[in-house]
Formats: sequence, structure tokens, C-alpha cells
Amino acid sequence: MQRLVSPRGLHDLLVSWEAEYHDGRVIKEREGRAYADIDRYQLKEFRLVSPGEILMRAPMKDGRTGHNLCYRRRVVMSAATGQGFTRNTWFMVGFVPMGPVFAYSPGLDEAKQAVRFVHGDPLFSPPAPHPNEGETFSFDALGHVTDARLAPSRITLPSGYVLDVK
Amino acid sequence: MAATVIIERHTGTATTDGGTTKTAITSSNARASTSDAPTPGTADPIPIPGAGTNYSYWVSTRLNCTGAPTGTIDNLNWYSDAVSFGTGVTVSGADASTGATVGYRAATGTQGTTGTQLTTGNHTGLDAAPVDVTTLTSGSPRALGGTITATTGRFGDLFVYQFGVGTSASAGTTPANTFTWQYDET
Repeated sequence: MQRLVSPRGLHDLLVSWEAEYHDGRVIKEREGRAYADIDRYQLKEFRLVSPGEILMRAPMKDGRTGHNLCYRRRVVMSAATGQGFTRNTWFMVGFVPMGPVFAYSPGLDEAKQAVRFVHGDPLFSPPAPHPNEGETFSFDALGHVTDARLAPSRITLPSGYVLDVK
Repeated sequence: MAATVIIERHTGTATTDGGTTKTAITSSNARASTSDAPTPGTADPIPIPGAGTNYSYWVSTRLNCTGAPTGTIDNLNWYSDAVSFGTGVTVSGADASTGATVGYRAATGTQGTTGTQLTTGNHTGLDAAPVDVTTLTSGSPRALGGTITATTGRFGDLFVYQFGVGTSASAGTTPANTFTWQYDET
């Protein structure tokens, strides 16, 4: 995955996803499509976009397919006594179970990356699997991959996934 | 597109979807007091006891989705900033969804003096015994049940918390603390 821009102060409501298929079609969240609508057999690239620009690309390559893609808006709402209410959204895009996982907060203008989702991590804890993702969520309680075909020793971060933080 | 979700404080008698009164959390009503008022301000503070512990009326909170998500909201978690509330002050909390009224039970006590202690015996809607909320952190939050998909409405477990003030506490305002709700959305 590659972070392309760092628009300071971008409101999270302006960020949406797009899914490009191998036949060139693109389905878009801002056109009313649901995440569950994505045809994972056809998925070529998943993107986060804001009006006029692409924020992040996640191509399906190096053994990662549409069935490994995991996306969530992770919303953190905090209420502090006497200080009011704050809300921040992290856009989580990752591949399950092999990783990597990318988190981007437009409100904080921060981007972070992890090797994979890990139980107990404040930001990169695993999401609840959805029906079209459940077969790939093979974590144990410590956040280790349990699928022997994807043992950590055989996973490397390929080039092109280096986070370019501005 | 993205959902609109607010945190509400439930007070009053119990109904099928929680307290009679549901008030969106703002800075003015994030305080606990020795009353069931939804926005107590600085009224009815918790007096320092001569012996034992005085409690706030327990505070019941829950999420309300007022703008529907395109997909699903799930993976609800609650945690604190793990900051101490000061000498002699503890805050206990637990999730609630058991039984009727979505697990809500009206807070009781003696106004101006003490609330009824938050226990599984006194609050039959709790899903587990209350714990010190400073042990519930971003790395080890309390996982709450419940989801909502492509619709609006109140959803998920309640989180109920209560302040306890002992004899060693000092008068005045406790340090500001942050309570957090976190969820995932598609």
C-alpha cells in the first residue's frame, strides 16, 4: 500500500473507498455502494479517495487477493469531564491474515502501519470478521497467524508497501 | 456513507430501550453526581464520608446511531485513559444488557448523599461485576456486544459506571478523565 498525499485537516466524511476490478470497472462508496457489494473475485485494487485525489492504493498482488482485503472505519469517540466530546476516525486497510495493515486518520493527519492486525494493540486490534471475510481471519488469542500456510517466517513486506509519511 | 453516532446518557425509569430520558453526552453532562439528573452540572456533589464510601448515582451510557451506515457498525469497545481520579476516589464500571429494558436499571440512592453501590446484586442488568475503569485501556478495553446494519437506532450494550469516594479523598473537582467508545464501521 502506498500513501500518496497528506492533506492536512481533511474531514473524515470526505474520505471514501473505491474498488477497481480486473475488467476496469470501478465501484465507489460515494455512489451508494456498500463494502459488502465488492466482488472479491474481481478485485484488482482498493483505494481510499477524497474529492479530486487518491489518498491510498492497496493493489491485490504478491499473493494477496480480494478475499484477504479488510477495510474498516475505526471511530474513536471520547468524552472528557468538563472538556466535551471528540471524535476521530482511523481508516484501516489491511490484508488478513498475512498483513500488512495501514491506518490513516485525516483529522489527525497521521498514518501508521503494522505488520498485521494484533490482539491487544490499541490501534491495530483485529476487527470482527464479516461473512465475506470470515474464512481468512485465522488468529489465535495472541494475534498470531494460525494458518500454517502463511506462517510469519514466510511473510515479507514487499517493496512498494513502504509508508511515505509527509 | 459514514454513520452518525452519538453517546447518550440514560436516566429515569426503565423503558424497553433504556432510560426514560436519553441525553446526548456533552461536557456539561459528563459529570457524575448524587442524583439521577441527566445534566447535573456541579449540583449534588459526592460528599466525603466520615467513614466508609459514598457513591455517585450510577451513570448509564449507550450508543445511538442517528445517521445510518451504509454497512455495519460492530466491534464496540469501551475504555478509559487509565488516569487516576485522585486519592480516595475510584470509578467502577461494567457493561449491561441482561434482562428486560436492554439491561438498563434506574439509579437509586439518597440524593445529595450517596447512590446505591453498583454491584451485580443491586443492578441486575449488569453482564459482569464492575471493575476499576482505569484497568480498561485502549490495549485492553471492555468489549461490548451489539451491532447495527444500514439503519438508525440505539444499539449495543450499555456501559454503566459509578464514582466511589472514600474518607481519604480531598474536596474539589476530580482531575479530568476521558472515557472512550470505539467501534468499526463499513
